[in-house]
Amino acid sequence: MSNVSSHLNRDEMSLQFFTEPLFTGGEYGVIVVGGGHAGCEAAAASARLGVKTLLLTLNKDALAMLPCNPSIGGTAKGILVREVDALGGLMGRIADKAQIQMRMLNRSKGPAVQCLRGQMDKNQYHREMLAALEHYENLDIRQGEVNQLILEGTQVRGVILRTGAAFYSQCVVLTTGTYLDSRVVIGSVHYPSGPSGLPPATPLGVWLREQGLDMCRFKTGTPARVDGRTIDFSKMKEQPPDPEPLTFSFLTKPEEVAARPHISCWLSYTNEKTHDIIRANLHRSPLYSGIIEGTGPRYCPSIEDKIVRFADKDSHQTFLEPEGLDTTEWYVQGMSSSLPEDVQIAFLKTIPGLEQVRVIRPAYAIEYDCLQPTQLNHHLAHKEIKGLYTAGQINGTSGYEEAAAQGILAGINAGLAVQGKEPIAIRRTQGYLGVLVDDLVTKGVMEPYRMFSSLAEYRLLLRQDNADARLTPLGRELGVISEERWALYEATQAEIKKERSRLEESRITPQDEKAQSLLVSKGDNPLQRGISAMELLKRTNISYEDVVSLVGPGEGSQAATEQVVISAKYAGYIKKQQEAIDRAEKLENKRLPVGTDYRAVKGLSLEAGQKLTDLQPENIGQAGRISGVSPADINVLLIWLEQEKRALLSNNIT
Amino acid sequence: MIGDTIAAISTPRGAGGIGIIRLSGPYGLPILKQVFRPKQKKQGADWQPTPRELILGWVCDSLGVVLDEALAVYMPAPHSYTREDVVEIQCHGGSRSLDNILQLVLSSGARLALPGEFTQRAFLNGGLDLTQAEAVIDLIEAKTAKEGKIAAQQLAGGLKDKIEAVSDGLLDIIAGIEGDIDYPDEGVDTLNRSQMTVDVEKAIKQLDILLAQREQGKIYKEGIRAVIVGRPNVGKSSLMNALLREERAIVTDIAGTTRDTIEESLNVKGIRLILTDTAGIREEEQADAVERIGIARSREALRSAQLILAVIDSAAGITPEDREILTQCRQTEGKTLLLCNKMDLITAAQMAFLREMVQDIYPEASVAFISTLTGDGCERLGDVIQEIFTTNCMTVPDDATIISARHQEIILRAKDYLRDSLDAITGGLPGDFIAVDLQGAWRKLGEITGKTAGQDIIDRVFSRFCLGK
Repeated sequence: MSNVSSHLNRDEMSLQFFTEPLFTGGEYGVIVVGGGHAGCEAAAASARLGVKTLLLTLNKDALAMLPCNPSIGGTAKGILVREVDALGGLMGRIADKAQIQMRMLNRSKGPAVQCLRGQMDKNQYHREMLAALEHYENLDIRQGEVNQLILEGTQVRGVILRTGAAFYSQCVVLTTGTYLDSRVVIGSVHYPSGPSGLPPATPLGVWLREQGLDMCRFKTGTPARVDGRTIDFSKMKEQPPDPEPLTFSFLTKPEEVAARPHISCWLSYTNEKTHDIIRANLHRSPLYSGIIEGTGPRYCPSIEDKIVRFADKDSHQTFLEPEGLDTTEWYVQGMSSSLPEDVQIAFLKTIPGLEQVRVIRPAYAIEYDCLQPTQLNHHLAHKEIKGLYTAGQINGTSGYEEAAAQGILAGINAGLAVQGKEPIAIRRTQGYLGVLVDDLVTKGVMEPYRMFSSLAEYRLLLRQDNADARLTPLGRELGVISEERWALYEATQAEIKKERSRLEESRITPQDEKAQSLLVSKGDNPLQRGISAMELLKRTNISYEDVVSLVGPGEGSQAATEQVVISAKYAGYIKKQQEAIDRAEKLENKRLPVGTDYRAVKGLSLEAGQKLTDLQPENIGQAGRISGVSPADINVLLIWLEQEKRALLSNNIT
Repeated sequence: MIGDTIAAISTPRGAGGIGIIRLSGPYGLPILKQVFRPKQKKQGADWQPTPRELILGWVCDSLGVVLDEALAVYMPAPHSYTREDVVEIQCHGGSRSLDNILQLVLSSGARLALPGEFTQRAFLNGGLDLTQAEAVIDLIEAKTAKEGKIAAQQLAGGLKDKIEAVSDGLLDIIAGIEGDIDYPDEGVDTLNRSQMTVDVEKAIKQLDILLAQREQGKIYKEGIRAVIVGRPNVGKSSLMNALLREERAIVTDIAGTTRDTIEESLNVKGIRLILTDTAGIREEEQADAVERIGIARSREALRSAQLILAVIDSAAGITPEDREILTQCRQTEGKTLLLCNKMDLITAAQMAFLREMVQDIYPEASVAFISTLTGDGCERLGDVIQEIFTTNCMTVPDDATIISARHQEIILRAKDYLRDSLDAITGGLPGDFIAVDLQGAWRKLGEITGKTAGQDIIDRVFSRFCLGK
């Protein structure tokens, strides 16, 4: 067959795949390659826009699989889930349907760093997502392995599957996760494989590399799964769910989740015996023998890493997390490892409660190819190959939530491109999604990127509680928001407004004895003159309940009340950060022309000229975040930009 | 960078009769209203200036202390040089007065302008033509090159090391807070507020030392403004001649920009001494001392001087006129060195008696005995002057770091953030709020160290704490 060619994978194994299509499978506006968290959101978003969309997955039974920890959300990540939800995405809704434990993290801290984390029933999560997508309008799901893209010059035209089937489209979104030319490593054993025993996408990985794209090799890992019937929970510390119903999605009503069964996680610790076993077997680790070439994330160290790097710590904690309600499998959080299986079993048995443990799936490390994301713009579109979008782990990130967030953005932009509309970018000042994408495309990745709250410089305003106010109006404008969601959003905003003006208009006077005695009892200064209930609420010692006891309850929902309280309590900080945002936005609004040779701009440092030319930042704000570009360089750029503008104007006149 | 309010002294340095402080940006007017009290109070505290009209009034600090009498003018956007809201405060030209007012507007929310920044804004806001813009780029370029050079020098002086030490300490506190925020289940750090207070206060102190070194550095770089006072015939001009002769180091004669003041600059033990109003001394040696001290321009010179060399005739003791002069000296902020001339005419016992008398009248003054006739004591004057300026925590270490105005501005801003963070720490606010200001300080110092937030914080979190699944 002339349309089949041979290729070598990383381990020099010979592969054959179609380079010319055997037949036409179908035509779509957008094709999404990969059915993980990025792919599901990308496909759904594109379909919501009304664009005919195809979601291709290696194995439909593994759609929206949670191959690592059985949880969604967590610090910073929980805010991403809310943002995806605010844009009409699925993750929050599905997570609410599959939740088996919910906690609000950082309750004792400020509202900006409070985040939801939910334990998921993994199978149910998969089933619910599949059910949702199977009934999505404009969306087809098909099982099949993409081997290569069809290119016409630098324009994407579609994909070719391993079977030779060709699917044509105007845009392709690659959301290939950890599957690209991936291999699994356990001790000295390694073999081509995707996560959890699924096949790798080796030909596509090889094909992308052959196109001369800037690729990197990353590594991640997952701990063992063990049989819950062999765990002695009495030796562990219980971590129960929060008592009240909590939901990821703005749409989910508390009563929908209140009836679901919620179960605990369990905490135990490693000890000297565990560490001794690991130390004695370090020479059998693939990291030390050099089998693993990929760069792993520091925030997700294997247990052997922890023991080597923090040699003085004689104990590390491990959480046992349920993988679902109807399975006996438990996830051993904190114990990811690439040591040989016999070593894993031995060290697990030293942990209190796991003495008799039976391993169901051993821990493994997985290496995979990804793209250096500096090749992308803020729309997650490839700068050179037109119609190509990428999202999720292929962009060097890690985590379900980071993937979903990129997926929805890439899906929206691919869909908009098909419709011939302007793409959208989310700014750092608008959401964690904006921070995530800007970090990726501006700074690139040296290790798998995880969302941290400290990466968001405006985090006081980028809270989980106001994700709807930040993004839902944009979603509405784009047409990716349901009527139901928009109605709820408008109702909440109206309630906020109403409660705010009620508190601003309610006066409390020094003659109000109840108020004065309340203030005294709270150790606060009594009133000298009349103030509004809002002013009173701003006082540190005064709670909303205190204010209600004086002026009566409001009519708004809890969510609306929360917004009013937060904006009153943290007014000073919020104002400060809002001013910083206003300043930053001015720079973001100064757009830079693409294709500029900055090395020719007089006054820029050599380093800045080179880096700006390489990266082609979209605006002055982004230029300032490139390492090596100094404030002086930015001043030069501002003047240069104004010069260009005037030159253009005078040319137009003459 | 764009959109904030910048301020700078926009008249040449030196003892001009009038100095102008210019502000540009949205807070120009609010700051003016905060620091300026018009003489004709129109509508109480909430007065509104008429655009482009001079207003007479006083510049007052936050406690209401009058710093200077001044004229102010408000030029609302876009009818100003920068096309932003511009405020100018015209005050007396002594550098002390200008510096004080500049510091006041900086502490009221303005930021020190970078070289060429007013012009840059004028250009970016649509004023000026291209050639002027070129000039601004040249200025930025020159400034960058110069900063590069200064930076190299400062590297030797260890500025970067010192800032990094502060910023490193802050990063540890931040990493504790952030580690706890991102890994709430791993028991990273419970906020130890008292330890945090100690650490932040330490950082503030380290920054204060750098700022103090700037003051000190300025003495070396810019010299000390000095005046010679004394009644007739005590030997003022011979003192000056003796100083000049001793050091044989006349550097420049600078004619004042608007007045007939002559400055003579001489080098005493590596410290540049700028003698102001020296023409006056020569011409008015015969004039009545009280009258002389009474004339406005000498009073001005006296007020802006950092060092007053008060000369008396030892043989005549302390006369009522001397006493009057010393009282006036004592009312200024400068340091006074009382020079008892003609020491060759008195005994050791008389010297001791004189010293005691001075101690009674003006205990803060330093005293030295000289004879401009024999030259006795004159050669030691340099040491004495240096001593005056290096006591009171003003020791100049060998590795003294002389920081630039830009660095000073950064350090001051970083200190503001740190003070705010102390409020959050002691006020019991959660860690994420404390982190806002600590990160603010850290980012600010990053403008010197070149470190950026985000990844560095995460690096520190993971190097300090064992976290992760």
